[in-house]
Amino acid sequence: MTVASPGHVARTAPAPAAYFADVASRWERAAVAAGGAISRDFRVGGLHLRMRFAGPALVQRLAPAIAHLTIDGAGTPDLLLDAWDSATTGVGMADPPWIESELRVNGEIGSFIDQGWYAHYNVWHSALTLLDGSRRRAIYWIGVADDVPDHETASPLFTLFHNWLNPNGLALVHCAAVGLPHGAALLVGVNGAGKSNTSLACLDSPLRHLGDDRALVGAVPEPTVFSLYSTAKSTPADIEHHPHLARLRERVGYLQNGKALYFLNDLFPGKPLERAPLRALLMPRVVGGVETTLAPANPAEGLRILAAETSLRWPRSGRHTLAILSRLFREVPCYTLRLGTDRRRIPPVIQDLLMRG
Amino acid sequence: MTYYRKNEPAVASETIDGEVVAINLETGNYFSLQRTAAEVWKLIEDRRGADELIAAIALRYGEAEPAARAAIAPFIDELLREQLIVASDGAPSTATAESMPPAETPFTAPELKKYVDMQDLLLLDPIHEVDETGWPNMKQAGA
Repeated sequence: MTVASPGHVARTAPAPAAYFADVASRWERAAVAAGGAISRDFRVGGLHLRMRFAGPALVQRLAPAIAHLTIDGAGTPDLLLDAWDSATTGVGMADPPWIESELRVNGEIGSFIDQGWYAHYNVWHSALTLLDGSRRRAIYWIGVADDVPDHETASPLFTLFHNWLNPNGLALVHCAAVGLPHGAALLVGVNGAGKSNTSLACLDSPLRHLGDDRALVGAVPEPTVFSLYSTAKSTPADIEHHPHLARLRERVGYLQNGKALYFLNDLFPGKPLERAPLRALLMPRVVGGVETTLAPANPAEGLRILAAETSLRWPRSGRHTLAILSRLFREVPCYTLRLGTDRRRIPPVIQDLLMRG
Repeated sequence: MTYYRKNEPAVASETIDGEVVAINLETGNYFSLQRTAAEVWKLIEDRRGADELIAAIALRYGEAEPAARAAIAPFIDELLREQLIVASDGAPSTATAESMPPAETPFTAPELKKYVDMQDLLLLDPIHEVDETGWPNMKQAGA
């Protein structure tokens, strides 16, 4: 294999293990340069993740969205993720050991994807993620910490999380999720179907929050939804419909597309829920009228919507993902959530359903 | 005899409530197959030859074989065009086919419903080039 390198001089490339070792040693140097590592521990998808940051620059870019999953740091983690940026530590990244044609259009690096290895290069903001699944290690590097865009801060590292957790029977899916500790509902639909608006309405109810745009789901030993990010977004128009959000106008950030970004662990303490058994699959649909009602739905339609997005985003694991999700749709009742115009009446409908289950 | 197999590993499929959800992980298209389409798919997964599967469907619906063939052959062509199945050069199944019970509904031509709205996930092209640092960077607009 030849590599793209400074001056485009071809040379023999290191194997993934050698490259990972080189990159890991650079993280060590970066941590020393930054005056030490900052360690944070989380429970993600039921597993223990430890993140070690070389200095503070990336902490506020990667950690706030998963702050609700913080745990005590004792014990050996299931994944150790080391993160650094070059700008504040002065430690650069090793030359890329892949040829340009190996960089797939979705950012995956072909020669680094096999037998527990995963590599992803985000060409939009020049960030590299490496996963060595067999040694339970991962690396995140970016040239400039501030280049992590705000929308990525709302849902950081999601490609890494999916590829780490998928072999463990979990899939990271595009959905919203709300519930109570004894049972949760997944909100499944195409963009604009009403998933986010439903989860935003539930912030002003006894229902707790497991996801606004993404959540982890697994089918074994029982259908379960795990929260990943305790963030939510809303358009300016949506804010007007949710008084509990309108009063937070001065306390939230705004994305480039004008959406407000809410870090729920700070703004709604106690509202995020780490996990719950999955009791209902809901497909929101705006139907007009005032009341919100439920109607039995075709589970194949829900599977189609949910599985296509996740399987095609990560086609290498697409078959496994489809198998996980089809099991959910076989085992969990599926309903159309016919959304009425009075948003305050949406949460009680979901809550009643979960209480019955 | 002509027979086919699912185009694995490019294609993943699951059946739920009698409906097949099939995803072509290479083209980014995904599909729904219901009723006779799902039954034909099942027979292909069971490695039944084309003549055998047409005969089985005709028998299930009490349809004349030529009429069933006229409806099913274009459907199989469509499955081939969408790269959901490929002609197989292996041996067909020798297991005794499980007979399909008589249908309670009239025969309808199998249909392949195609969805293309997720193609961007595969086809999104972050045009890039390698700069002097060795790291790929975005090609500038107009460059």
